[in-house]
Amino acid sequence: MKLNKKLTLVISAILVGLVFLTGCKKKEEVEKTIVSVKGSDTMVNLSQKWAETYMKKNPNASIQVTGGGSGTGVAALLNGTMDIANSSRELKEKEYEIAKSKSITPKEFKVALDGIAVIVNTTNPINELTIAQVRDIFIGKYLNWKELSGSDSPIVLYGRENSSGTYEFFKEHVLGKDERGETRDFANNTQVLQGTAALGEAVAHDLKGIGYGGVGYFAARTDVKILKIKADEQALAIAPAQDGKVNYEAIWNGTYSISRYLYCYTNGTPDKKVQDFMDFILSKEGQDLVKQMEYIPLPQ
Amino acid sequence: MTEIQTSDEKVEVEDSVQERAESSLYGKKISLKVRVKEKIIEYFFALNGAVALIFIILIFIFLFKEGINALNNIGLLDFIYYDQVQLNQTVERLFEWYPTSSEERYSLLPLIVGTLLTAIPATLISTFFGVAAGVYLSEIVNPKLREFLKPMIELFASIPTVVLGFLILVVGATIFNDLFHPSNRLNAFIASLGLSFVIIPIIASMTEDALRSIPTDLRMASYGLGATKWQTISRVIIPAGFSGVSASIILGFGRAVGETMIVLMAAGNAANITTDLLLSVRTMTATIAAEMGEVSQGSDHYYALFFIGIILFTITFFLNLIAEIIINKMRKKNVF
Repeated sequence: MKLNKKLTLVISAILVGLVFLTGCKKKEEVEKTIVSVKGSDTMVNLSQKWAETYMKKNPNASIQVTGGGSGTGVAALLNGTMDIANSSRELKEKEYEIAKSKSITPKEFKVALDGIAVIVNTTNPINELTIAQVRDIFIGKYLNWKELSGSDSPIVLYGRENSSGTYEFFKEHVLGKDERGETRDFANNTQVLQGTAALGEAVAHDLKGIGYGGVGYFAARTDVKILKIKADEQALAIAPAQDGKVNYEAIWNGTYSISRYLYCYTNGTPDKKVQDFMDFILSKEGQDLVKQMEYIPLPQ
Repeated sequence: MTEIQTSDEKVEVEDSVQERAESSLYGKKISLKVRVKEKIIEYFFALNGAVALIFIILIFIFLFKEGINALNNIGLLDFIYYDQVQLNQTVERLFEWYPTSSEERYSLLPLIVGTLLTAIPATLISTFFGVAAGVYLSEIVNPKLREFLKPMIELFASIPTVVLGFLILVVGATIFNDLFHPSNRLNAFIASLGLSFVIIPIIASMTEDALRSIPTDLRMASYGLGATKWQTISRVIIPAGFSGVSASIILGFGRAVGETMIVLMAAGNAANITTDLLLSVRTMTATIAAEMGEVSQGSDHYYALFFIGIILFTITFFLNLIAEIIINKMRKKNVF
């Protein structure tokens, strides 16, 4: 008998708790419109800044930003669990096909630009490389820094996991296609690190290391060295950032060649709460925030 | 950890339940109500036991259902090598895991090598320290100190592996790098050191359980023959508890194979095929963890990841099974 009493008590307690919980949830939904944003790690900081400023202006909006990589964001958008996908690359054919099969029509917004910096350890004597040299380093053709007139030590490659937009972009843009018409792959011994921050950390600690990541991340950092890049042997070496400042002009006019647009994707024509946020991003205020966060605003 | 209960005790307990259900001490029949209640409780517990079993079977089914799909488009041989046709029509045989390339390559060889290269050194290190700690706890330490030490060791086992991984990544790797200048800062050896922190407590506490279940008569007999404490430990206790100790090592190895977070953070994740402990490696678990988030559902890559899951599950399942069999044998043997 005792046991029965206890059981009823426990069950009723659980029920009461559940009622309470659902009650709380309902209340919040009435108060706030929630927009969920997920995707590119490169864009997380920027996206959070937009969200903060936007929420200050509109107290009844709640923008929730998470990272995880462009692929993750796009996958979430296609699964219908997100309002906005941040992506540092254009959607792939494959993803458009999947979207079609789920009757989703992704709508593209260009929201900012980003340059990719190639970074080495501060003790590395090398200051500039051509695009071709960077490519050959990352496909494992060069194995020692002395082949590039550096010091006599092996080259240690650091890269990103294959869900990252930075990885995709670098692979397409820098590694390109080989003689057989297949996209080249990163060398097998490339160490895969989760996130640009971890990569910067690794290169800062590793005298032999070389890595890549958004200029915004590295411009103000003194513990890694950003290489100047030459389009070919004769061209000028252009630095994507100098003295802690991003070199906007070079990225807008394409003289610094490793740059890309950053995108937001929404499902079809977005509803009002999402559209308002997108309008804010594309407004002058939103673009000023881009500059403030060390990314490159859209050319006016 | 498993509670070691001699089978004698179990039999006694079962007997008493039987007696109570059928007739009380005064020979009266027990009322129907009580008997029904007993039965209900019995079934309730049986159901709970069954639920655990059902879940395991469901996991098995799900894994295999998803993983077997990998074999539709990827042949078994593709999981071993990929023949790349070069420009001059020669064929180069590649053992690479590269599912996102334009020529998808699914060789599991680098991942299996990477897994072994972190798990085996970790198990060796942990066996040395874990068994020593277990012997100390069971044979040497005074009881008061044991009361304090054993919970401490088990507490150690409960440190979240993310925290361990982070410490190894930030502190361990830097110190190791400054001292030995390995070719890669994050390498298999650093990862296996991190794994050791997880496995040592497991081996230590299971070894201690195994050694303490050895009857005292053996120790007394050994001392009676004039053996010293050390001789007793090395020639009587450890041989007698050998099966228990080896079971704990097998379980530790299984844990090392299945551990994810530490290797993901500290092993560097380069898919090298190597036997050099100072190079980065990539394990099966880290591959699943790193790639599952972004893979599009239903693609070959997705099923290939599940296939890795099947292999992992099978390995750990059999390791646990072997350990369980050994432990059961040991229990039967040590009942005098």
